[in-house]
Amino acid sequence: MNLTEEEARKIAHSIAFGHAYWEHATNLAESGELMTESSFEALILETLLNPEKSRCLIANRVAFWNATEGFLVIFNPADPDLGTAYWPGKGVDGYKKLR
Amino acid sequence: MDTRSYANPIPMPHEVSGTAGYVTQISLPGTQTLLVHQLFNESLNGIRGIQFETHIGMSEPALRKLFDEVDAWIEACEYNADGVIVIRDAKGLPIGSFDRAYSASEIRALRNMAEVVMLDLGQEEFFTRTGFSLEEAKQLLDRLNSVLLDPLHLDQASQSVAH
Repeated sequence: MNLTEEEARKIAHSIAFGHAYWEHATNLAESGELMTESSFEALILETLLNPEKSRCLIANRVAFWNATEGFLVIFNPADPDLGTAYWPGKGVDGYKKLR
Repeated sequence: MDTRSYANPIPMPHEVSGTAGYVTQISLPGTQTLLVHQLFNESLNGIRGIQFETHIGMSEPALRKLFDEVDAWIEACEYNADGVIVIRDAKGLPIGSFDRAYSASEIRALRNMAEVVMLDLGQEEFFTRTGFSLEEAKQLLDRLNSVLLDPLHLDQASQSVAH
């Protein structure tokens, strides 16, 4: 799935300023690396625009894999936040086995 | 990098006396098999920090072995435009269920795994990460609980001394 930059920016902003930031990005603060919502948004945007891999999932969702960061973005148009973004525990396997 | 980890430990499930050798055949419709697949993937590859023996009652390698069977079945499936599994036999007729005999401890692990993933992902993430609703997962959970209680024959009429 190819997103326009405008679409990607809208999705990245919605995810970064939604529940995903508090669920996944703020834990970094415990290790001394504080990721701001803006830098989380930038990582999501980079992943949406330049994924190493992406593919459609069931229920109209789309997964985007950022191999460099071991980072996964799932775009879900039915979600008020438009999806989520996180670092799967087993890296790329967390992406490959998604359906 | 560290991200959210599973932080709601569930008590270690215990073997119920008299059920250790209990084995039952489970037949999962294709779509429910896909839900089980998603739960396996989240517990083994997605969510961080699960302590398999403690939270699920089965080692990670043993759970992954169960996953591999379901994954192979899912890999062999065809999907229609709505993401619903369509499997066809040699004559092209749809076949729609995953059948396997599970021990009580395996069913208990599947039940615990479903519960762990549901609680960890919660209302905000469950659908986005699995493609299924929490209600659909609860139906699976209820079914697994029901299977675990089969040896009690609760569906048969019984007399009670309480009035």
